[in-house]
Amino acid sequence: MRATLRIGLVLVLAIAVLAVPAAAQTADDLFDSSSVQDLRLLVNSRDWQELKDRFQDNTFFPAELAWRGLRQQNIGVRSRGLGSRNPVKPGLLLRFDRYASDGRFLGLRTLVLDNLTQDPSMMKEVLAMQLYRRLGLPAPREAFVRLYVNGALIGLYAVVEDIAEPFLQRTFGESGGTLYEYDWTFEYNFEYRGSTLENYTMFKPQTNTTQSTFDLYSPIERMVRAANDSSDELFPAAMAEFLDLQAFARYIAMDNFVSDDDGWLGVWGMNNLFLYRGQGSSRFDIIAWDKDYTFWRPTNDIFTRVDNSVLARRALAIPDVRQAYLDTLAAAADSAAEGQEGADAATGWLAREVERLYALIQPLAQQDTNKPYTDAEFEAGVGALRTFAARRSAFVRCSVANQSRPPVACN
Amino acid sequence: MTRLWLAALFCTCCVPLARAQAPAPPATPLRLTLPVPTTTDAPAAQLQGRWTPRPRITSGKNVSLELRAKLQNDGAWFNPVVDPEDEGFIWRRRRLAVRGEFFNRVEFEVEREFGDEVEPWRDVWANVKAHDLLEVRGGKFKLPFGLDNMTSSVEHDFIFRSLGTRAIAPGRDIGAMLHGEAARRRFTYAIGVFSGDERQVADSERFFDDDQGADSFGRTVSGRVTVQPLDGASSLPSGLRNLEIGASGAWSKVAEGLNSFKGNSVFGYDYFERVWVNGNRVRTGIDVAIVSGPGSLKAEWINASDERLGQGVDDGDLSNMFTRGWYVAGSWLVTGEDKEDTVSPKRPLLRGGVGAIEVAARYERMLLGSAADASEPAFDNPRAENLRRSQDAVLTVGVSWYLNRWLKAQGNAIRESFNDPTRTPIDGTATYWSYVSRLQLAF
Repeated sequence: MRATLRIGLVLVLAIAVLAVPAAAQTADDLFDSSSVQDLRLLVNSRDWQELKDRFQDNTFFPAELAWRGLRQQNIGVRSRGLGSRNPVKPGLLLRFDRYASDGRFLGLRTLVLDNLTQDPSMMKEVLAMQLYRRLGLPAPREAFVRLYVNGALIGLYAVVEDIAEPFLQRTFGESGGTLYEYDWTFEYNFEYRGSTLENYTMFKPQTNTTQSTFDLYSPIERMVRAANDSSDELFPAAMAEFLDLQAFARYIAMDNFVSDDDGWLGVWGMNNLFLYRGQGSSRFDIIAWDKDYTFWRPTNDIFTRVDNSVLARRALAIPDVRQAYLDTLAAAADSAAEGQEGADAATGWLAREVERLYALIQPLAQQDTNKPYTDAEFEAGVGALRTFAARRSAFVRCSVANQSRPPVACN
Repeated sequence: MTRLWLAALFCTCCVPLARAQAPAPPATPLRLTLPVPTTTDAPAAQLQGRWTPRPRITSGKNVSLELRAKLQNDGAWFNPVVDPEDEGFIWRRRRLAVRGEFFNRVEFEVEREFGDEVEPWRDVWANVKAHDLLEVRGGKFKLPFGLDNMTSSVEHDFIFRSLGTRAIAPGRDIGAMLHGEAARRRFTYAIGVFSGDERQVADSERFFDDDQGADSFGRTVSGRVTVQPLDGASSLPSGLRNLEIGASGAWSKVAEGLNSFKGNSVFGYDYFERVWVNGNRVRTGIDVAIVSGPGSLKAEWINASDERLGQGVDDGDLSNMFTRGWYVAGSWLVTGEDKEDTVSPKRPLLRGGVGAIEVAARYERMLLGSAADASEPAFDNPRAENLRRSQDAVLTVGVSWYLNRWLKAQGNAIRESFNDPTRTPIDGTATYWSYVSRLQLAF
């Protein structure tokens, strides 16, 4: 009898222990980049074919998501991306509130599945966002996933926390303000485009979308006007109403540290960012987005294209803002090199992280037959990242030091 | 369009055919002189014309042609206002038709809507009568289905037909139909095969024009029978003896796609979006009507069931989607006239009276959803096993003023209430009032 009781007790405990992980899944678990998650989507085969055939459209299709024993019905899925749109390995946006306004998955309204088609190494996006977050900048959480659709492996993706209310709540402590996604349509470097508010619609509202054009765009027009038209003397005070210039300096410093060719100081003008104007505030915060066009040149000049941007040029002309910029570069260099043993750059955090991610995804990258790169190109991409990780911190430290000493050659 | 012209041509061809089969009438010159003397000893065939109840010319008992018209101008006002552009006056119908009959055997009609440039032809048909119990009709015309659907808009007690009829009952289509009656209309039947409606479905204007009916898609078989089971029961009150019971059914095959019925409010706003369907569409309906003296009572229930084969997110079959509507309606001619298809005032306006006045009320409900196990969670997505149900309840009260037999003015107050405030014309607002007027000239 006692043995039976003991067995029963053990069984109850075992069930309780096994049940806890399923019940306790959180968004943190989903974005845990220490392992590759398996995401399984069910989409009617006709819808899936149409999504791929018409991958440039934003049409939502009903779907069901399964992850670690959790099953989420009634979700919407559509193709997403700008340059990354792909008919074979589509980038996907999952919306849990597409068909039910209160629909959530792990507290999230939306999830982005980045198809990693613009980066042969497939890890720049995840790596860059980790670095931004290490430096305390607002950036989404990300992790690698194996995506299956209707049981078939589609490939290696990055699951990206969408910039939406849950992210704002987590990052800023409130989500009632207005969020804008910068929608690249032409080369723009923060020049004043006149008082017509419709000229600023490349800042696309994502929340409070029913507000009037005036309420949505007037703050942006006034910020851009202040950035362009105020005198040098009045510039800091004029901008203070709209932007913490030191925070702005930290953001563009990170863009330059990771050698981002498609960020605020991008080759084709500013791109890949969100602005958030908090509830009851006139100030904007900048949120990093889509960092897969990064880690290009380890010896990238620390002031690359600063002069192209009206705002960056004028902000860095202010001594304490410039100092914040340099301090951030230095801090980024330190962070990337953290844990480095002596002169062995390969032992710094960034280099170690490249190796860790490589070990994590290399077998899966090879299995991913839908990726638009060969396995050799993948290896070459990772090799370039190793080089960047090995050299970037030293180069940036040297360049920053040159600002307060007679310059020496950095390499 | 080609088929329409063929149908019209068929009408024309029927005339000599019927002539050939009927006893040969004397040759008659077609002149608009009355009477027309003939040069033979045969009985004179006369062309006669008259204006009432509508312009008509006849030649003896063998040929008649008449001109018909429907002019309806509607006004609408709302509380709350969803879209200010919906308010104001519009022409609802501007139709002219020619209807003819030859030798009591062949009939035809050609009707054109002058407010519709896309599909201007409404009824274009020819009918051959072999016997009371057997007539054949071919061309484009309304499918035999439902009481409300088969009631002419000119003779309707309300400005709009019921939502169930507008959403579910098949509209006009090209096809052929057998129909007939027996025992002085104690029994009627009609059954036809129709080619199917291939027009685009996402056209709310078509829904709002309640003369067009719902979509059929592909070949449709539709039929209707009516019986008056108490007609001979002389011991019953006369009202009950007039009881008519009808049953309707229609079958068609719906192509895979977002082709289901959808929930449209009285003024065409969505409260249930189209969902993916594939397979059989079966429509059924039953109706009862009692018309006695100045009053009438009518009730109708219509249901449509759409299969959803292979439409799940896992490619599996889903439970059938249903679209269901019913109404109960009553009317009373307070000025005492008998309730007939065409009400003729005893004392028309300007001829010593005020015309005829009729009051009417109708309560109806529409419900859309799926026949899923209730334990399944209900969702809005168009591939959900259990579609979250949405209901529209409508109360209409109205008054009709028959100035004379051709002119009618109507006013309806419509209270519309949705059970799901998140799927309404204005998010969060569940109840709407509409005030609608109609001025009608018809002959």
